[in-house]
Amino acid sequence: MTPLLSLSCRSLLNRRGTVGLTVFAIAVSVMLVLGVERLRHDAKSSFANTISGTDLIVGARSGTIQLLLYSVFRIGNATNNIAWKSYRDIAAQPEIAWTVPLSLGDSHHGFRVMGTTADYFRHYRYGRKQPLRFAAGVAFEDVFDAILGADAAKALGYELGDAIVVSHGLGQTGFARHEDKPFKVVGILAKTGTPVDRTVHVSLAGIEAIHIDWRSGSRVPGMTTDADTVRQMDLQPKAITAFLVGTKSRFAAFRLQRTINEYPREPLLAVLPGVALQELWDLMGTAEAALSAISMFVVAAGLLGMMTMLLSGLNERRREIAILRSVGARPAHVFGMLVLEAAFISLGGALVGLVMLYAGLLVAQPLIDVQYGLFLSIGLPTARDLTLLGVIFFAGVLVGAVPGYRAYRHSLADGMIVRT
Amino acid sequence: MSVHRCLPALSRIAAISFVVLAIGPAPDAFGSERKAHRHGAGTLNLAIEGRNVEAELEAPGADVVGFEHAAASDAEKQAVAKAADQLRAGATLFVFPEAAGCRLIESEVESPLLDEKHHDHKGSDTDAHAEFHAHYHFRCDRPGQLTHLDTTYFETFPAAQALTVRMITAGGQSARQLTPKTARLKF
Repeated sequence: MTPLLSLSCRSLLNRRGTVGLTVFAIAVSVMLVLGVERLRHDAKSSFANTISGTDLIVGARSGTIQLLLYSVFRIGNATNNIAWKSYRDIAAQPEIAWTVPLSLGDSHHGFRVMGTTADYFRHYRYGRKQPLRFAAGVAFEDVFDAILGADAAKALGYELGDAIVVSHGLGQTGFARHEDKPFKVVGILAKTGTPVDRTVHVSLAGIEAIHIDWRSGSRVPGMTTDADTVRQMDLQPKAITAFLVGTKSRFAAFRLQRTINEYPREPLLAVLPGVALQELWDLMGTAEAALSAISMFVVAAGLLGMMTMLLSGLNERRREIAILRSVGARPAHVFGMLVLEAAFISLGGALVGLVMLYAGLLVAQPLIDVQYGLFLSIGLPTARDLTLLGVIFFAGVLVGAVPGYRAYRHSLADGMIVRT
Repeated sequence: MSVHRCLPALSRIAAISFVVLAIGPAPDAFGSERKAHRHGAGTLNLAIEGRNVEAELEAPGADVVGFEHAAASDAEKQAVAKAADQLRAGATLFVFPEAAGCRLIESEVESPLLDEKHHDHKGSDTDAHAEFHAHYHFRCDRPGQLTHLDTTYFETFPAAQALTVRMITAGGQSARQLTPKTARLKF
């Protein structure tokens, strides 16, 4: 066995150019498989950890997942608003413990601005029912106070006391800016690893106030009400985008959901966030499966590449193999040598792939965190990762058997016959 | 290899590829499974809070008695009455682990099919969505032992294909799908 090992090893070293490329091809595919796996797992846990402790989310009637996405994940937009009257009406139901109104639609340098009340910071929970914590400052008091999520504060370099101007709509630059009424940063939240980090929170009254001189999405020319006058006005909003509900008992959530869905005065939709999340998984399951399938095919392509390399190598190595045979190597030895070569290559590919994965994670982690709010974990390979690596290695050895068998059959004849 | 011999080989490969593509998975191969069970699917809402377990079952008339119009014949009336009794027997329909010491405190069943007044239907009243609503309240002595729930729903009503469960427990909200093969709900 040992001479066979050193023979395979040296033979591979002798052809280090092609072998190196093959190892690299397998390494890339291994990195892809493990990377996709990690992304899938981390995206799932980060989504699942975004909201907890909220029993119902209520919005205008649309899709369950759509409501969940815009109200919690700040993805997409609401199709409609909820009248303030309906909100107060429902919030007065005896089974409700607390409600938090949300008003979305404006932005600040690409970060969503959300109007809410101080109750948001009291009742919103993420992960394992963890409350939001202030890294600095306090919850809002004034109409023009703003509280930043950790990423928003970091990315824009804001500190307490800075003034920020909110853009109308969700454009990055925004033609329509609420310049006349800047907000003051009074609080910065601690990092949560949820979309809260990327949100600029202002009071509901603040959202109402900046739109006072506006009609249907644009400023009314010549109409400017200064901030102090606005503070004196009645700033109760006429509509909100959605609201979060906490119920007094667990079963009440089901009853309330039905009541709200059958609310006669306005078409509303109440969803159980945990159930809606699961629906989202079911939906994403297809995409996940497709992603996994594609990465597995890339591995198959890598292994086929290795087989091609070994098979075409046989041609070049006719002489080498014939000489081995002539000095006493049996066909089984030739077979073993080729399988060992395949094993070395796939093992090398798996190890290099693992190293590349971690290098990639180290580089990509902060970028993905800031850009998409998705925190990738850099932990030890999981049991699943190791299983995948094992399967890839084993498949590689199997693939090596094909050229091995060929050499086994033809080793002597091939080397001796002089071809023209 | 000369061009003459190479071309036929290539065309054969191309032909095989086309055949493989054509008989490959149809685009709707995914997701069809979820849609397939729209009929024959009931829903169960379940909440566990302390010692109390509340459940709410909504089952299509078609699953329970095989029809969704007001019972006309005597046989149909009997079927509806029998189904209502079976649904009311919550302790038979839902079996909690013995160790948890759960007992049924209250159960009620409602359905437009049970309603005598629905006999004089006004044309459109034969709504195809007639359902049975059942509500159960269990109390458990040792809620810490509540590890799972077995349901005999599928054996009692063989026409039922699936039960969509939405539950709220100390662990949060979740959704599950029960079928005759997987009739155990783990908490």
